[in-house]
This record gives sequence, C-alpha cells and structure tokens, in this order.
Amino acid sequence: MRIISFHENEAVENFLSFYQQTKKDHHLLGNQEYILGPRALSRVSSLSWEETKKWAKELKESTGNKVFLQWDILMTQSNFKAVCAQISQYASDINEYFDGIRVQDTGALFWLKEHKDIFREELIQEIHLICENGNHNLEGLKSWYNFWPENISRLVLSAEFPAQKLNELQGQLSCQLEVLGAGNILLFYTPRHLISPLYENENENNKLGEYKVFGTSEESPHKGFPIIENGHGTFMFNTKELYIFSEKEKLDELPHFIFRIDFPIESLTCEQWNLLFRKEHESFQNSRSMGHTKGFFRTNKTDVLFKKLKNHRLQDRDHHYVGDVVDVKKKEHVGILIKGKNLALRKGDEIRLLSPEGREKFVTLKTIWSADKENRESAKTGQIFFIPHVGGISVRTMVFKTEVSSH
Amino acid sequence: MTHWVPELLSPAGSLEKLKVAVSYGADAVYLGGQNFGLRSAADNFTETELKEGVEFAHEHGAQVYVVLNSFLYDKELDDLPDFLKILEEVKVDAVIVSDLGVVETVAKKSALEIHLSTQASCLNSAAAQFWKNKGVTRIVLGREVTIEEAKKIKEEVDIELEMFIHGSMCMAYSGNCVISNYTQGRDSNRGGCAHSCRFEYSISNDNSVEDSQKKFAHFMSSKDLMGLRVLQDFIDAGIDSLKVEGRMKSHHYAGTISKVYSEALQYYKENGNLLSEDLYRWEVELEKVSHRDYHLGNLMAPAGKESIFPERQHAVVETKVAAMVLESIEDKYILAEARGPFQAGDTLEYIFFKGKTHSFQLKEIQDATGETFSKARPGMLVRLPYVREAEALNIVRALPSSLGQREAR
Ligand code: SF4
Repeated sequence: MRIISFHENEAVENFLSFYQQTKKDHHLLGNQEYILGPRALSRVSSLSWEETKKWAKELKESTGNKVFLQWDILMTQSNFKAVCAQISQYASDINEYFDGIRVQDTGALFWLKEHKDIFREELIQEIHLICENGNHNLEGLKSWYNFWPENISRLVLSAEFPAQKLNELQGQLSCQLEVLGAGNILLFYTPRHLISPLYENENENNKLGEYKVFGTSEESPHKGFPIIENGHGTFMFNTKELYIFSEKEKLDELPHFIFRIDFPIESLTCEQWNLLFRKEHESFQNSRSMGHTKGFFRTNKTDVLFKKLKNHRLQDRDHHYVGDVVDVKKKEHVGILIKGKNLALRKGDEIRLLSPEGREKFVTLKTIWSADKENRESAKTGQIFFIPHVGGISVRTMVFKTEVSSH
Repeated sequence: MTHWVPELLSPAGSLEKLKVAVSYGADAVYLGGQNFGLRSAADNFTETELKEGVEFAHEHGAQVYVVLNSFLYDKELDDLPDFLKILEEVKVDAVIVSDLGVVETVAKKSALEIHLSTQASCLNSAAAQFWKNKGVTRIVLGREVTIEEAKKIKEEVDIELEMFIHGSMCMAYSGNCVISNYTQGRDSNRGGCAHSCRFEYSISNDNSVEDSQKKFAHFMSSKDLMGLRVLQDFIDAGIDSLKVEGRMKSHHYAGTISKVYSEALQYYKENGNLLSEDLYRWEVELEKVSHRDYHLGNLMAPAGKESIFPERQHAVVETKVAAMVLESIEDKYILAEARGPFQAGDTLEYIFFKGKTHSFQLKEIQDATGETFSKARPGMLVRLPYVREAEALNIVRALPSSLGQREAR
C-alpha cells in the first residue's frame, strides 16, 4: 500500500492526469491513499483551505480512495488554542471531505481525543500518529498506540529504522505502520524565520512570505540542502531524496507496511509518476534533479561513533578511588589531592596510580609531606600531600587505595 | 518575610562541576550517567561519582536530577532497570526523560520522579496534560514557549514547569533536528549533534547559480539565551525551575552563571523585587563567560531575526580562567591548580561563593613548594596570596587588563 502526500496544486494535477491515463491498470496502481493539508495546519503545504477541500473531493471522486487531513505542525500554547478553535469551526468540512486525521503534536492528539464528538465516527477512528522523531523503541510505540487504541489506526515510524527493525516491529504492533518510502527527508524544523532576513529588500513580490532556497556549507561535503520558509517557520531537507523502492527483497519482507511518497521540494511530473509506479527505478532516479539515497533502510550505524566518544578511562573509577594527582615535579615529588568523602591516607598505605594514558603504578606511602615540606603521618579529604616522584605519572592521574591497605 | 522564588537548576558536566555549581548557589543540578544521556562527550558520572555527587548536593541542600534523555533503542531499554536501581540507591531526586518508552519503564520499574525533557517538545497545555497523566511530575517546556504561554499552561494543568533561562540554544524544535544523522552519521538525539546549525551556508534560489549570486550567512545559528532581565516575569508566572544550559561548558561557566542567578534570586527572596544595585554587576559577570551574543530567545515573544547569531565564533571573552582553589593553608597561602596560563604581573581575581570578587596583582609565581617561576602553565600547582574568604573550589580568573598588557609586551 502507498500513501501519497501532496503539498501544492501542481502536484495533485500531475498525479490526477497520470491516474486518468493509467486507471485501467489496477495492478499497476495498487492500493493507495492520499494526504492533503492546508497551509494553516500542514508544515510545508502551500494549499489554501478551499484548494485542500477541492482536491480532497476530486481525489476521492476520481480514485475512490481515502484522503487524510494533515495537521502536522507543532504548536506553542497561543497558536495551539487558535488552531484548535479553527479546527472546531471547520469540523463539518473535515467530516465531509476527509477519512482521517494525521498529527504529530502530542497536544493535538490529546485534544482530538477530548473533542472526538465533533467528528464523524469513521473519521475519528482513523488517527495517524506521526512518531517520526525519535520513538525508537517498542515500549514507547506501544504506549502511544495504547493511549487511544480504538482510534489510533496507524503509527508513522521514523525513517531512521533499518528494514530489519521495521520487520520486527510489524509483528509486534497491532495497528497499521507507515514509513517514508520515497521523498524528501526532513532534517530540521524550527518556528524561527531564517531565510526571509536574507531577502529583506527583495521580497516585495512575495505575498505569502514563502521561500524555497538551497543551502550549502563549506564545512560539510553535502551540497544544496533544500530549505523552505513559510508561516510555520523554517524546514531544511536532506540533499538527496530517499528512494527505497528498488530494495525489492527487503520490501517483500514488509508486506504490511504502508510506504509514503512525499516530495514537497520538487513535485513529480506525470511522467515521473509513471516511472515510479512502473518500478523503473533507474529511469525515475535519473529523471529527478536531486540525487538519491536509501537513508538508513539498509543499516543504521549512527550509534557507532557515539559509543567511541565515551571516555572509557572514567569507567575505571570505583569505590577505592581517593583522588587525583595535581602536581608533578620530576625527581622531586608527586602532589595528590584527596577528593573522596571522609577519606584519609596514612603512611604505610598502598596506592594505585592510573594515568590518563592507562599506565598503572603501585606505590607504598613511606614518606608523605605537606606543601610546607613538613612530614606528615596522614592526609585527609580536601588536603594536598606529596610523595616522592614516580616516573610515568602525570597530572590528572587517578589515585586508588588498594585492598592491601584497607584499614 | 521571604518571597517565593523558583529553583535554580545548573548543569553538572562532571563531579567537580557539580560541586562548583552547588557551591556557587545552584538549588539543583542535572547530570548524566555513563549511558542513556544526550551529552556523549561530557565527563559523564560513574556510579561512585554519582553517589558522591548526590551526597555532596544533598549536604548542601541541593537536588540532583539525572538525564536519561536519549531516544533509546529496545536493547538499551532492557538495560535501563539496572541503572534505575542504582539511581534509587544513591537517592537521586528525579530523572529527566524525553522518550515515552523510557517514561513507561521508569514509572513501572522504579519510584523515581520523572521530569519530561525539553527534547520531547512539550509546547502546550494539552500536551502537558498528556504527560501528567503518564506520571510525569515536571515538564521542561520546549524553548519555543514564551513565559506568558507557560503561565497559561500552568493555569490549565497543575504540574511543575521548568524553563531555560540561560545558555546556548538549539535552533530546531528540540528532538526535531537530524542533520548530524544524515550528514555526519551521528545521531543528534543520542548525543551526536555536530552543531551543523553553527556553520556558514551559501544560500541561493537555484542550486546551480554562481557564487557571486549566492548569499553567505550563518543563517541558522542562534544567539545565546540570557533571561536575567526577565527574572521577575518567570517569578510572576510561577515557573518552578529555571534551567541553565551547558553540561559541556567550563567550571568557570557553571560557577559564574550559578552565582549570578542565585544571588539575583536570593535578592528577590529577601526584597520581593529585583531593584538591586548589583544588577549591573551581575550582567557584567555574565559577559565574562564565553558566549555568543545574548538574546531573550522566545521568552517574551517568538524569536525574530535579531535572535540569529551571524558569526561562527563565540564572542571573544577577555576574562579567562587562571586557576581553581584546591586548599587554603590558613594565614599562609592558597594552593590552586593552574587551569590556564598566567604570569607574574597579571591581575587575578578570586570569585568567592558569595558577594563581590577580590582582585590582586600577582607579584611572583610560586609553585607548591615555594619555588619561584615566571609563568604558570595549566596543570601546575601554585601558591596564591592568602585571602580569608577563599576556599576550595573557588575559581580564580585572569582579568583582561593583564592579558592585554601581556599581549602588548
Ligand atoms: S545542529 Fe543545531 S539545531 Fe540541530 S540539534 Fe544540533 S544544536 Fe540543535
């Protein structure tokens, strides 16, 4: 099954003319659903409410397929209240033109549950919850679903899941599951307006205040990030379009998944729809102006580096840790600050020194002295004491009291 | 009569920073364990350090919150209960969580209080109600929420609210940026953010245009948040906790920010207003730590174009950390560890835990045993002049005039 998302008039027009040309070929078209949202509710749509309704009607009449309302913006309190008021006002239209609602904001989900009575029963039983940000564990996904199991009919999963994980999940969640199959990968979403300041003196003709530009950083090998600014803020997309439909073997293992086709940057032409549906993968990809990626569909290794970043030295600390070396003077001394709580070191104790490079030395405290060079019998927490110089030991070496010396 | 003030919550990137933040007045600190938190490169706490940190904080009347704000995978979720047990044993006061699966696991497997991380982007009252019903006792609101909006959320949902008052800002809705995942192969929501939003970009209408037609800009880099001037608004709105960003930042940062905000809050507590003569001094202090230009972020209104920081580098801060006091040898000298280079003739300044600082010109540099040197290098143990108020964990900084003089020489 495929769900197709539309963001502008041209996108729907192209699709409908492709559909008209192909409609006899049921096998080719397969099962489909559509997503439409007005720009007031949907992140990157440029459609007005009237246009949204018009296309919803036309898509339904031409194809007989379901159309879902996209309400995927995030909303701070004031905007949230205003949008909810608007939704209540348009409830009858929503009931008439749509088959379900898609949300990401937790508040929107909660509000729909509280106000379910203003919606048609069949419509409110088709809530698609967008869980594309994070939500990488089964426990969490189950819990989202269980918040409203009779009505959440679908979870939209993160594009960061590899196929193998998607496969695992399809057996464990009792609702429909959707993932991006082809389209632009959203990398960044902010409510701030970041592009318009750059075009401040040039935007007289830009009545909607919408911008579509490309950004490239010298500090990254990736060139030409598509960026959209509109009333909801700024959105940056990956430099390459996601395309996983050529991964036949992996897709065959995901028979229950619904794959979304979602191209907000550059709508598909009639011919491109044709290539896509005919699974002419190479020709389709060659026809697009952006490059293609399989994203994390094959594998996700974003955690490997993360693990390497961890400081393994720290993991060596245990309850025998007493402090750190704070001063080293060759051939003279090593100064140690006792840091642990209520600790003391005495003459005769044995200590283990573990340098930042991992060098280990064992020393029995025969003489210890203060900064004033007065000999001491012991030193306690918060004090610095000195011992004869130990080779290979540097500042920040950790000091442990060995078992041998435990009094 | 004392007046109600919010909690001041400071970052603790390491055990030493925890002690510094608490000693300089933080009412609570947040920190990460070895796993499950977002700051992979911070000196995250081992179990022993965690225990010591919690004991230290509790002895000083401060709370400790542990971040579990990574978006966890199933395998990690399986390992979480063991860590929760440790957290309960060492008596941490709450955990900060962003993932619903983690919320459920913490609620099922422990009696720990759950704070919802800003990573969950909780932005409105309906979302707050959802999380409250899930057992969350405090919500760290998304940074896009204004104080006025937070007040309304608080009126509608009876739950503790926490807001950021100071520090670097993520430009995206928290949890809604995966630039690093796709460009660097590092998961931003698991500690791998490469700060791509701080880069300079060339912007053009068309991907193929010549450089001469492109606009070059740090268009998605945010200025730093600084909410001292609107502290009164936070108090009036009844925001329960004011959070300072920056577990990766220095001791100087942890100490200075904690000191400034705790003094301001203390002043309000005693006087019921913020008309303190020290307001200017506090602002000057905030300028002395490394930062991008300050801005009010979204605190008073949605952040506009003036919230964008147009440069790559941090502001040049001329005040640098010189040393950290380790031990006071009564009536003789102060033993300190040099944390930056300084030399005889430089003007240094003790930052005491409370009140004004004390500056002095360093006549000579002595090492721990009293031998004289011309320069101190980081890591060296030095004797500094004795001042009664100076105590362990006080930060000593080098003042700009001395740095300037030295550069001129
Ligand atoms: S790159 Fe910038 S916006 Fe993205 S997560 Fe990192 S700090 Fe936030």
